[in-house]
Amino acid sequence: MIRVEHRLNHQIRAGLFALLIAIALFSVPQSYGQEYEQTDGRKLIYSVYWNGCEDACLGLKDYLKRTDIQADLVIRNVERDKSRLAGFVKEARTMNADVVVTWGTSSTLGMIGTLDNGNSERYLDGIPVVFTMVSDPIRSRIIKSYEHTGRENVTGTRNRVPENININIMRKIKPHFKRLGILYNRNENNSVRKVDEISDLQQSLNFELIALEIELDDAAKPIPSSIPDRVRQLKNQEVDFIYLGSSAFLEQQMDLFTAAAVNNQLPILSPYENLVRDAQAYLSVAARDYDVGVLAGEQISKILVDGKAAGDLSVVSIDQYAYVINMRTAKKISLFPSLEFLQIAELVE
Amino acid sequence: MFLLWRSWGVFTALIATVLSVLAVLSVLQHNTVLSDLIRQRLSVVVQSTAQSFNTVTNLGMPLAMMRNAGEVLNRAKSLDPDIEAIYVFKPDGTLIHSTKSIVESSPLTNDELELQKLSKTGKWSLETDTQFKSSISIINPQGEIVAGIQAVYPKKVFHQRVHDVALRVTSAAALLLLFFSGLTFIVLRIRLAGVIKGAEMLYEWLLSSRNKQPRKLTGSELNSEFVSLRQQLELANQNFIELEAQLRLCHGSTKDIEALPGLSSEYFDTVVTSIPDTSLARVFARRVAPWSVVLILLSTVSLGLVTYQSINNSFKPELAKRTELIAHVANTDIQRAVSAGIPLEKMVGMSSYFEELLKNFPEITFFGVATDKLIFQAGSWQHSPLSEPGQEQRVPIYPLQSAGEEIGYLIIEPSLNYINLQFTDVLLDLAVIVLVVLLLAYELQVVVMSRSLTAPLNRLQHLVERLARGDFSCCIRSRRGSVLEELNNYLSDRVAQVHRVYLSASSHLEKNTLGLQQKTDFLILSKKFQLHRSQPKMLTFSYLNDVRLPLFLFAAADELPLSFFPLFTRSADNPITWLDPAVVISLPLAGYLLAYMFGSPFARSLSERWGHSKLLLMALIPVFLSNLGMFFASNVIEIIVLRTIAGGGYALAVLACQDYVIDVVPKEQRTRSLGIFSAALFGGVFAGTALGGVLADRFGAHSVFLVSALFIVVSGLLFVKMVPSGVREISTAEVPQGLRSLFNTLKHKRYFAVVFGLAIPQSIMDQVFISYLFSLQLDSLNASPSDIARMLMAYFMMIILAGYLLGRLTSLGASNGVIALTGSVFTGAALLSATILPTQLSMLVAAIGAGLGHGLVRGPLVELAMTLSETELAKFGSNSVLGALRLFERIGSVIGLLLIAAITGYYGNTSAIGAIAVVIIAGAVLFGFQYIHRDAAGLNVKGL
Repeated sequence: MIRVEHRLNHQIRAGLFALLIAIALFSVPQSYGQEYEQTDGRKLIYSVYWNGCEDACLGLKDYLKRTDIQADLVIRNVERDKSRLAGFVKEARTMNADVVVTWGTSSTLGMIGTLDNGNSERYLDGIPVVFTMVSDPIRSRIIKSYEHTGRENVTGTRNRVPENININIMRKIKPHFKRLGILYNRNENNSVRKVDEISDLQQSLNFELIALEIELDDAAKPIPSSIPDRVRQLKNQEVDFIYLGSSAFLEQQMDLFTAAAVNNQLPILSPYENLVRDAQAYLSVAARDYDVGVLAGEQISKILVDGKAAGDLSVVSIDQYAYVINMRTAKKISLFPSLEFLQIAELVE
Repeated sequence: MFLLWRSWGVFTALIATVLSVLAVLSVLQHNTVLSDLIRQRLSVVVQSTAQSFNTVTNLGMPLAMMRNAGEVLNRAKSLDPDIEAIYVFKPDGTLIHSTKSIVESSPLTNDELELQKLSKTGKWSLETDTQFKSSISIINPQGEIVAGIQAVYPKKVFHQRVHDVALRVTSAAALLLLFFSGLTFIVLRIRLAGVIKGAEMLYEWLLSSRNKQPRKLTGSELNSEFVSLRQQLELANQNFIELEAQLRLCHGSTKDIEALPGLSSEYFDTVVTSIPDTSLARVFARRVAPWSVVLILLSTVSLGLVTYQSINNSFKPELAKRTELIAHVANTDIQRAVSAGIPLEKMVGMSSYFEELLKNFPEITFFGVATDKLIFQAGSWQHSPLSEPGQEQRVPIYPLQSAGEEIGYLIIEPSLNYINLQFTDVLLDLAVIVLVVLLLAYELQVVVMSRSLTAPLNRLQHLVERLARGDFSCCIRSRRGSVLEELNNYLSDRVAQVHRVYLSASSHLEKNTLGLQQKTDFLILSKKFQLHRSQPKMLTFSYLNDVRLPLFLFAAADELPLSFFPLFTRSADNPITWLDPAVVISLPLAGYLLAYMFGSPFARSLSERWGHSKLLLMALIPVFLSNLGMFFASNVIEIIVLRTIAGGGYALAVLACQDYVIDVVPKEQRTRSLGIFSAALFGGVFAGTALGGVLADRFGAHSVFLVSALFIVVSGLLFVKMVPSGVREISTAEVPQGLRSLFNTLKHKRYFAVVFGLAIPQSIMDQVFISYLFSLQLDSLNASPSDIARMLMAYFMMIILAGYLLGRLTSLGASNGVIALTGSVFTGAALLSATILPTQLSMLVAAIGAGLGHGLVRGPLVELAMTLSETELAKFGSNSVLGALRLFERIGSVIGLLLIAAITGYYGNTSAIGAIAVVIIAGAVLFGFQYIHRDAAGLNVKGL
């Protein structure tokens, strides 16, 4: 009897082992910069992230796991170094990627260029591309319009609310809101474009924009230590709110940036939720990055499963946003949201 | 004693009917109130949720994009654990957020979206078999509906409460029936003592007469009327004995007579005749009627009080729950801010938040937030700050906590005025129901009294009087019933028997050659006792009361859909897309009025041709079919056609009833009877209007048409049963009615004054002021729909009262001209007061004055026209005169409607009311000049 049980236990253990092997074989490989061998019959998704596999990347991975797309995901980290992007273009071509996913305006521009130079050998032109987290792809000349990208191999996702909503919310928090401060990084195309976009709204929405450029070093890279000075300057110019606009640099420097704002008793409105949840930004009106990854997965599914051409797909917008308020910051700067607003906002400490 | 038992049975049945109707209506009313309250409570949740979503919309973000919408909805749902679900939906009805899985939830139905469109306030609610739904629209800063919120509540608790109340009301009704039935027996025993003795005397007389025994002349204690009746019976008996003996003598052979076949009453000629109430019937009615009214009133009011108590028992906790819920909402919202670490003193936006709550929930008059002192307040504090010592002022307070410690509290004061107003509303609504039942009870009581007591006495006395004076030409159709009927049958059999002998003797005389003297004696005998070779006439008696109850039911049936008809039309499919929807909604009414206008002139000639009974039935058929069709109708064209058909039928039926009253009632009672006719008609209108809303609310608009159809069938059966068939006897041939004769009547100055001085201004008042301007003006004066409905009911009530008042005035000797003029001046003055001082109160005064005035004019108006048709306008005949009156007043009202609508458009409602007042007063001056002035000059025609 004991012998039989022992045999059974042995069989169960063997079965579990085989199952683990199978899971390992069929699960999505996490090849951070490693070489990849394509498996027969399976599609290859090549993804390029500005700063490693963050929430959007996790959203995409989860989406692929729970759907029946027979594909492997290759993840590449730009490590905030644009010079690496040309290599990724070559690699994607070499690996015969079926779809390329890009994260952020800089990565996207580095991988597919603009409408004007996209046909160059330097950029991907035959492989379908799904861009994500691009703050303003039209102003950045990545696409023609959200409905028709104007590029055969490009589609993408949108994850920003219209800027007038952001201005309205600032006015809701500060009814006498008049002056908006913004820091931008000349080195980032999207950051400059965003300033232009906000500037255009001044008259119609009755506010004044104070936009200050982040200091660059000799290598034309932004200097983090200049951020507190710039925030102080904004304070001196009596801005009511600071808007992050669009900058991967500022997002990367979120602790420094948001702490400077709090020290100057200034609220920051961020289009990135993590600046509220993980740093000290006052408020965000944003979608979850994770949801952006899921949305990118849906676009990929249309290309790989439904056989649609990327250029025929309109750029889809994330459909769920939330107002998130950092109550710790609110207390520090003594700026409490109204009772009405509290009913709809998500509160974090 | 049989009469007592029979009367008691009939009155008990009457009380049972009245209590049953009241019990059913009361429970329905309770259900309406409770349903309304639950939906209002649900509305608190919906409105507070909408407040949050409005913030999102005002910021410019589409609600579909709100990520934490589910969390907000769940928070709202937690306010009341019984809530089944809360949805956020798009304007097309598809759901975008839900506390349940969207896949499992159904989108909103077209009916619900239609309600959303129709709602002026953006709030609406409805009730299905299993759920209550309360909804609100979310409107963006541009004023567009961008979404809606709906909360769904199961009806389980409601059903349980309804069951309890139904049981309580039914038990109370049963106990009250037992009590009042016993009381009725005692009252009848006392009040009918004299009649019972009289009936016993009649019974003894009948027995002794049948058995050919000598009669006892007892009865010194008998009522003088019965003594007189007995004397006449004796005379009739003597006449019979004498007549029979002489006829047998003429016949010569007794044997042959016994062998003669009996006469079947089926072959008798039926004659419809009208008789005034006999003195015996009047005495009887006076003894019983006031008591029966008091008993019915008491039983009805008692049940009304029980119901009011039951409604209150449901009402109070619901109102408290709603207030509690509002407090809970505010408390939860503030607590959320406190829990997020915001100090109460630094809370932002409290002012706008509480002002919004005060605006949405008028039952709260004050919100306050306090720590050790009051740090915020909104609204007005109703309690005196200087309360009497020892007088504790209790206001609800709700603690606010931070980190497990109480840091302050929320103070809420419910509005006493609002609560009192709600209770008054409930009381008034119930009072209307009780009033409806009392009106029905009164009509039933009149019928019961008439059918079971006064009519048999009238018939008996009429027949006995005929026989006593030697008139054996008529008999009465055999009926089963009390001793009165038995005696009627006995005497009628005698008439038949006499006729049998007379016919036999007549043929015997023809066959045998007899002397001239014998033939002359036979002829003298025939003449003396009014015997003819033809068979005796079968008398059928017609009374005003024959049409009262069926007319009441018919009018109620027609008015049942009145309260919701515009909404019903608006919610139907509209294929007439090229026409403005507001115009489309008015088309069914326009069709109805046109059909009424074209049907009116022919009513009298048709009733002459077919008889009242047949015309009534013919008129009821289209109205019945129209209502049946309405049950199935789904588009506007069907509704217009069906309502037009109903208008024609309604005109013919109502006017046939009016003609019946004119024709069957003795001339001297015509004005009074026309007043009673108006009272019955408007009693039905009142009851129908009041009931329609309750029924539609409980069973849906379509079902109300089925109830209407059922009422019409019942009224049709009553018409058949109560209105004697046959064509009225006309002394002179009527001049054929033609268009020319209709217009030629206007050449007569007095008739012109009646038409243009009274009929048309009154018709404009009724059709334009009451049906059109009244609600518009009150709406602009911020009156609520229920206030408008109640003021309209005041108008109808005054017409009913005026109908009865008319009888008093005529019995006091007031002439028709003076009454009509007084009524007209009253109406004009009432409207003038509403013009000079346009307030809700002056509109109520206008409704009361106009109702009273109109009620006073209606009867005399027809009577004046009838009198003219019988005197100065005899050459045209009553058909043309009445037909012209009805046609011109309808044309006048249609033209008046158009003109007044134009005045309203250019100068406003108040000016339009003033214009109608001027028309009425000018008409009164014209009429007064023609009648009063000429009367003073000695030119009065008798009877005017």
